Amino acid sequence: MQEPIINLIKINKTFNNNHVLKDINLYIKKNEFLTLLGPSGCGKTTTLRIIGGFEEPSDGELMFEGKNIVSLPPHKRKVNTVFQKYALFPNMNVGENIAFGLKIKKVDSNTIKSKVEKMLKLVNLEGYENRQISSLSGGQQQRIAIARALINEPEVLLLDEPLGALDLKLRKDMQIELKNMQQQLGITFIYVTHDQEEALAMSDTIVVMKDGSIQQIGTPEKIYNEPKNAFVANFIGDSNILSGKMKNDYEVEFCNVNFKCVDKAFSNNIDVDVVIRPEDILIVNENEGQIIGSIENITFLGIHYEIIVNTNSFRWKIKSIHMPKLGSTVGLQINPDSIHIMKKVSL
Amino acid sequence: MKSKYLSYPYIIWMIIFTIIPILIILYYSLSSFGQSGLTLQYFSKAFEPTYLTVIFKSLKLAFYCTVICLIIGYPVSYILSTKEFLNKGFLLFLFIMPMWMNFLLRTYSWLNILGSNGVINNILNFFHLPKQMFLNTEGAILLGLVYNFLPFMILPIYTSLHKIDPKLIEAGQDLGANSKNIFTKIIFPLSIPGVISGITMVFMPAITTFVVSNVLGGGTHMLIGNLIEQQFLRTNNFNFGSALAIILMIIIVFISILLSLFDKNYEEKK
Repeated sequence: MQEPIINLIKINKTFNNNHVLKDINLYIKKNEFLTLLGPSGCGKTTTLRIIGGFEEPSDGELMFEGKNIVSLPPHKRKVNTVFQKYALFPNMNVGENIAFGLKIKKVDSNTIKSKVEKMLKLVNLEGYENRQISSLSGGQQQRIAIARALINEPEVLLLDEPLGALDLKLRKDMQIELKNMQQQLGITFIYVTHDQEEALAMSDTIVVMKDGSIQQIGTPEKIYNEPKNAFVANFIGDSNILSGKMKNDYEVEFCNVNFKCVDKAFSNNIDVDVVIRPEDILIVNENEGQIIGSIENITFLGIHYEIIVNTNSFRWKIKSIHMPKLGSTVGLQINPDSIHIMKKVSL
Repeated sequence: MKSKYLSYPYIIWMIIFTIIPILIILYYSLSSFGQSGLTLQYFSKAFEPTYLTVIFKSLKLAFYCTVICLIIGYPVSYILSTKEFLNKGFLLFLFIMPMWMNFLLRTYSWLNILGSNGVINNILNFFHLPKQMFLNTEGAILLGLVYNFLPFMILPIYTSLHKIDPKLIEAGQDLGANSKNIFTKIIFPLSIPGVISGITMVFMPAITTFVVSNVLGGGTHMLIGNLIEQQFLRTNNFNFGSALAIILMIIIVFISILLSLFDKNYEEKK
């Protein structure tokens, strides 16, 4: 296996008795696009700030290329950060902002000039050198912030919700651009977001966090298809989460019906969470269904309808491209491999 | 259009209490009692060596006062704005509190400290050291000026430093800047508007003062403020007093323009 570029070993962080990071163990491979994903307050930004050097962990080791850099100040680390609200210097123009890192390193002015031009080309803002920061739109400031970080050719680029302030369309475009840039430059990206779609679209690896601990680490496909617990399932994409009981191996009961499933029982008659994705439920005729309910609500969402089916014991969220009749009684069919069984957690 | 009418009272106020008085002073400065027609004799009188010395002394003291206030005020503001002091608010309060007391009272209290039977001389006496004359010196006036106007330097600089987004400093560190680079390339440039308003707010009252020089200079050190006061209240030479007032105004306007050029330079960059 490739040597990890960054390795977090048992990182803990406490702010005034508030335990915000609990035993974080995480390694990041070279050239990986890794996303820290979680709701606000889950510790993802603190983790990033520890890697950047702006926070010191209360306990634990932070290895960078095999060396512990816990107490190395930020200006001596080979990482650069794109800040949430860009943090561009208002007293400098675009070119001076981008050149800042190189000027500090006393690179000669001709090299700086050509590198700044190259960076502006990379972020599609050629000829913007002399523009003032205040005259730029949010999207442009974003690009300048990225250029200012990348010009230093960091080993690792840290991005703290960089697209949070942009509108949806621009955000989608920037996601693709960022991903392209990362592949083109071969730099390790560590990306923080609370937007699960963004995480799924861009990442090689997603780290789902909650309340200061890591819930699951995996590829986007793995996290989406095999969520480890109900929290992950609920946070990544829409889910129907029910309480069920494992009857035997490959047999689970929920809604008072026994279903076949692909999981072995942890032990018999144990309470479990059952997670079923809205797109994995088929709406069929009343007599063909495993459970029966009535169509309570239909919302058109462009490519699909979101349908709420009430089956007395549970209100199901279903995505379908066919529109059933509102108020009609229908059957629901669920394939065994669409039923995800997980140990109970409190949400 | 409504807003236009709302400004009328202000315009009328300005005309009655600012523009007309200035015109009257201008008229006085250019005319002479018992003489018809306009004359520049009072302006040329102001350039006689006796009076030029007074003007230069005022400029010098105001300049020293501004520089000392800046040298003391900037580090104080900087420490107040960056360090997480336990009692940051209290410290700032200590610096501002003197402003709540009467200006005259504050200045008179220095008499008790610096006087020949004052606190300092008593202490010197206790150690059998010779008595020192502090009062009626330029140093005493300078001390009074700095003491009175220091808060006007600290407040605007503190405000401008306080407004700097801490993320900018982190961004600087992230891009490889050490503390010295961060100060010279980020913090200081961003605090220039505060420094400029601090300089303005200290220099203006310092150059026009006559109370401080009266009280701590004992009337032996004539500043332009004292000279104007004397022309109006003692020698009744309104014409010369007016001419001096106009000259003082021109000096202040000139310096304001100089400072605003600095400010504009900064604003443009922004």
